[in-house]
Amino acid sequence: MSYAHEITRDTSGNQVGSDGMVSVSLIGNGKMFKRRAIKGAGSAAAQELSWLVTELNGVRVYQNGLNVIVTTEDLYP
Amino acid sequence: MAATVQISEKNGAGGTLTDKTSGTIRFKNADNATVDTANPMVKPGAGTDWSFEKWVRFNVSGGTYTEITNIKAYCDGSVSFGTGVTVYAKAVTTFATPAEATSATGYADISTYTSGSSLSLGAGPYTSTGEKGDHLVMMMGVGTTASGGLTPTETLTIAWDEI
Repeated sequence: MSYAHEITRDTSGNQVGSDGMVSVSLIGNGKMFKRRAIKGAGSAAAQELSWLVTELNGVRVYQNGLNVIVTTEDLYP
Repeated sequence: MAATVQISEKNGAGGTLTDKTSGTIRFKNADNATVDTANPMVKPGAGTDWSFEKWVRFNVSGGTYTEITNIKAYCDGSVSFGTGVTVYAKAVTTFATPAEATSATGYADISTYTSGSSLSLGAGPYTSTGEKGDHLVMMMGVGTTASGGLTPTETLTIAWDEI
């Protein structure tokens, strides 16, 4: 149970988040972090989730696999 | 890289850790992490049968990360342990030997904690390995209207932000 996005910086200093298949680049003064969760903790059905959260000027982009949500809301898995 | 996170149950005076990330947390009338039918909850003739407290903590067991913040616990909003069975939760900073609960005072029904209204287990920031944030203390109350047998499992989510 160690799946999570990787956040790095490109040669221009921009943050780049990737789950190995989809990459999200943040250009500008925003922030990028992983919103991780263990769903079903304390049960045999436990599942680890990782969302990549990119925020710029109060707008957040949540990326999970091929699903992307753009919102100003604070969302949790 | 990412932090390797375990959800650990703590038992005994020393708070012995047991990894329960994907293992059942069994509410019972004893302080141990064993998943068995010993010391079961009993449907009372009157009042409520309270379980021993379950002390659970966010535990970074390894991996590499810079900072963890915003640890939260919540359910899916449709907790269904069955009629007459309620699980309560609260956040506590300092560990105390798990004891048999005597009332729900100080707790909230865990089903009231949802992704939009979660129980904060610590804002952080946290670094390095080891136990982080507050303990999630849970206990079960079984009332006179409960049915016998094992209750369904429920979905508890522990979420956090990480860079």
